[in-house]
Formats: sequence, C-alpha cells, structure tokens
Amino acid sequence: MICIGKIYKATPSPRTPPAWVTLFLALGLAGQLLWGSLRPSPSAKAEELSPPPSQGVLQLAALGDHVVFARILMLWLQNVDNQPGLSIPFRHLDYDKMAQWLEVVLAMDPKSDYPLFAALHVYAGIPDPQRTRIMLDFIHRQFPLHPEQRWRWLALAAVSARHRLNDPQLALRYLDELLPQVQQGRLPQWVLGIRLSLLQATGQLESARQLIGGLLYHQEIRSPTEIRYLSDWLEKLATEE
Amino acid sequence: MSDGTIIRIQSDTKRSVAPSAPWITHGRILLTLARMTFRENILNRLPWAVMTALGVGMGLALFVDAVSITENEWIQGAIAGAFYRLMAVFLLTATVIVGVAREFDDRMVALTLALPIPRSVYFAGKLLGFAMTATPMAAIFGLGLLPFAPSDQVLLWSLSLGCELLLMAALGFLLVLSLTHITPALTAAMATYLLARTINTMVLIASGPLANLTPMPGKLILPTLRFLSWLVPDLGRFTSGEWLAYHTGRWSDLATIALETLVTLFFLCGAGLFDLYRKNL
Repeated sequence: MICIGKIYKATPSPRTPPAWVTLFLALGLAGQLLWGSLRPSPSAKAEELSPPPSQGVLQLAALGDHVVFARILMLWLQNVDNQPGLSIPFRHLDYDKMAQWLEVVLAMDPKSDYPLFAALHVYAGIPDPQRTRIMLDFIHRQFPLHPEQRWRWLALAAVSARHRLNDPQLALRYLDELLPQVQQGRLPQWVLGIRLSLLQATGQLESARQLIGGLLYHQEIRSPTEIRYLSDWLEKLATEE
Repeated sequence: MSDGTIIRIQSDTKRSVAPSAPWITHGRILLTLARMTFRENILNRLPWAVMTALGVGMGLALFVDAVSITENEWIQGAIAGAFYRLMAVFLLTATVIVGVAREFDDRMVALTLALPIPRSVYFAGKLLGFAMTATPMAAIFGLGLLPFAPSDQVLLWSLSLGCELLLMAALGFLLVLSLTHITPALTAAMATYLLARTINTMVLIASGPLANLTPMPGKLILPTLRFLSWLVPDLGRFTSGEWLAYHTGRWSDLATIALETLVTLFFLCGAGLFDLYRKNL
C-alpha cells in the first residue's frame, strides 16, 4: 500500500501526511500489537476420534474419486495422534473407532494395503495387549474379503500374536483359517514354518508331524536342504513323543 | 457517490458561513456523507442480495433438517449461521470495495475532496456510512437464526457479527484506498479474513511436535506467525457457531470482542487515513 506510487507509475508522487495522522497510525499499530501480544495464547485441545460416517456419506464426499479420497482419509487418520499443538500417545486413542475408520478406508479402496500395514506395524505395535488384539482382530476380519491379496497380513498378524501377545493359540487359529483359503503353492515356506513351530509350541505334535509328512509325501518341497531340515524335524518330534 | 451528495455537502459547507464552530460544520458534512453512503448501498440492490442469501440459508437449514436424524436444531443453527456469516462478510466487503473503487473511477472522490473538507471527515463519514449498512445486515441475518437458537444467543451472535462486519468494512475501505482496483482489493480482503480466522490454528501447528522435526519452523516460521497473529484480529473468537449449537455464548465474550474491535478499528483507521492523506488526487 505504501509503495503504490511505485506500482502504478501514472499515479502522482504521494504527499506527506500530517503529523497527527502519522501519530494516529503509529498509536494504532502499537495498540494492535500490544493487544495481540496480551491476548491469551491459543491452547491445544485434544479432539477425540469420532465414529466414521456411513459409506454412503463418504462416497458422496469423495465426489466420485473414492481411491484418492481414501488415500487422503488415511493420511488424515494417520495424523490423528498429531493434532495442532499436541501429540497424543497411542494408548490414549480410541482403538475401536480407529479400527472402524481403517475398515471404512479399506472398503473405499480395497486394493490398498495401507490400512492393514498401519494396523499391524503402527497401531498394533504398542505394549498394550488389549489394543494390539483390536488391530489383529481387524486384520483377521478383513482377510476373508480378499484372501488372495491379504494372506500376507494375516500371516504377519499370526507372528504378531505369537511374539507380541504370546498367544500361540490365536496365532495358530489365524494360520488355520489362512491355509484353506489360499491357493496351494502360493504360500511361501516361511508361513508353513511358522505353523509348524506353533503346532509344536501348542503341543500338537501329531498335527505337526502330519503337516511335514504331507509336505514331503506330496512333494511340495523340492529343495534337498529343506527336505533334510524337515526330516530332522520329524525325527525331533518323534523323540519328543 | 452521486452529484446529489456533492450538492448536499456544498450546501453544508455554505452554511458554515454562518457563525458556527468548524467541528459543527464538519460533523454535519460527516453525517451527510454517512447518510449518502448508506443510501447508495441501499439503492445498489444490496438488500436484495441480503434477502437472497437469507432465503438460501433458510433452504439450507430445511435441507439439513430433512437429512439429519438427531440434534436437528443445533445442526441447522450452526450451518445456517456459518453460511450467513460468510455471506454477510463477503457482501459487505464487496459493496464497500466496489462502491469506493467506482467513486475513484468517476473522480467523485477528487471532486468531494476539492471542497473545503478535511480528508479525515471524508474518511469518517464513509466509515460511518458503512457501519450504518453493516448494522441492519447483522440484524437481518440474526433474525434468520431465531428459529434455531435462543434469542439471547442470537443477539450475541448478531452483535458479534456487527463487530466483524465493521472491521471488514474498515479493512475493505483501507485496501481499496491503497490498491484502488477491485480485484486485488477484494482478494486481499478475503485473504486477510481467512488469515484472521485461521492464524491461531497455524500458530498451534507451527508449535506442535511435527514442526520440531525440521529446524526451520521453530526459528523462523513460528515467530513470523506469532507476529502476524498480533497484527490481525482473532476472528476465530467472533460470531461463534458454538453459541448457536450449544448456547455457550456469554456477555463477557462480547466485551472482549468489542474491545478487540475498537483496538483493530483504531489501527485500520490510522492506516486508512495515512493512505488517504498521502494520495495526490
């Protein structure tokens, strides 16, 4: 505003305002700055995560581009613990609502692994068994909807249940549900290995023996090293019995 | 401003030949300017725009009533209030900026100031005219909210809207005096309005834990934002939708708002007068 004369060259050069006007402006500026500095500082207030709206409302808000909207929603959800001015510990977040939101985001973009990744590696990774269970349960619920795409997340959830929750029964249950739904040969050997160790850990030695026997009998394992390793397992199980 | 205004002001100045104190003459001219500014705003179809906005707001409230399943009145009040607030601010700011820009283009300002009138009287007269325009606007939009919220909360909301409109009118006047063109002035006014409503959130974000991940925000951005937050009024506290939804407005809130309005108005008047006196018309 002060440089207006420079911007519009056609404008005649500015006049000097009277002293009282300059004083008026100086006083006004000083008063404004003083008032602004005396104003109480804005305080951060944690806002609770509200339950997600219905799919219909979200589809409407997405304006037809639900994949982009799901991505934006996921980024927002991921930052719920970082609200303006404060950081909320995960243990203070409402995990039931968080799982509902993750479910909604996944339903809008079923091809995305982001919500499952966040559930397993971000939210389930806290030292609170109850909250970890909520997230693992979310992954377990989502698996049957797209088993071919999501088996990896359920397998990793089983690992989490085994090591974080120290609940081999739950881990075994996850793997038992996973195996029949995924095409044989698509699962890597580490998943079978986990199942084997879980069967052993839960004392189901006969089942473990059957699993190894089946793998060897049907020649699903071809590597000589793996065959020798599993044969050693069989012998070990026999001695344990 | 029309030729009639010039004639009226001329007649006011001629009356000063009679033995009356200059401040009486100036006061009379100031009131004439205010009255004519108000009349011009009324005659340029601003009332139609206000009534249309009121109708659209009512329609919006009816639509919200149809789609919400609970807390209908609260939602209606909050949404209609937010809509009225934005419309009132935009309509008044646009009216002020367009009106003054047209006066400059028609050389009416130069003609008025060629008369023996101090520029401060012209400035005060125009501002009073804008305030006279803002008052019924705030009242009309407030009346539109009466079906959705208690009358005391609506009164509080309307008075607060009046203060907000007064500040926006002064800001629009200052910006059009400085920038002289409609588009930059209106854009700058709306940008300042947005800044005044969001500056506190920006300060909070800049001082939050994520901002500390990089060294820049703490060192440069945060102090800059803090300084900006002192320069602009905290419009986030004005005309709150929470008053309409949860009825939490108190008269003490209005006292703070009134004081903030006075302080900022003083500053805006100082800046506006400074610019007006520097103009070589």
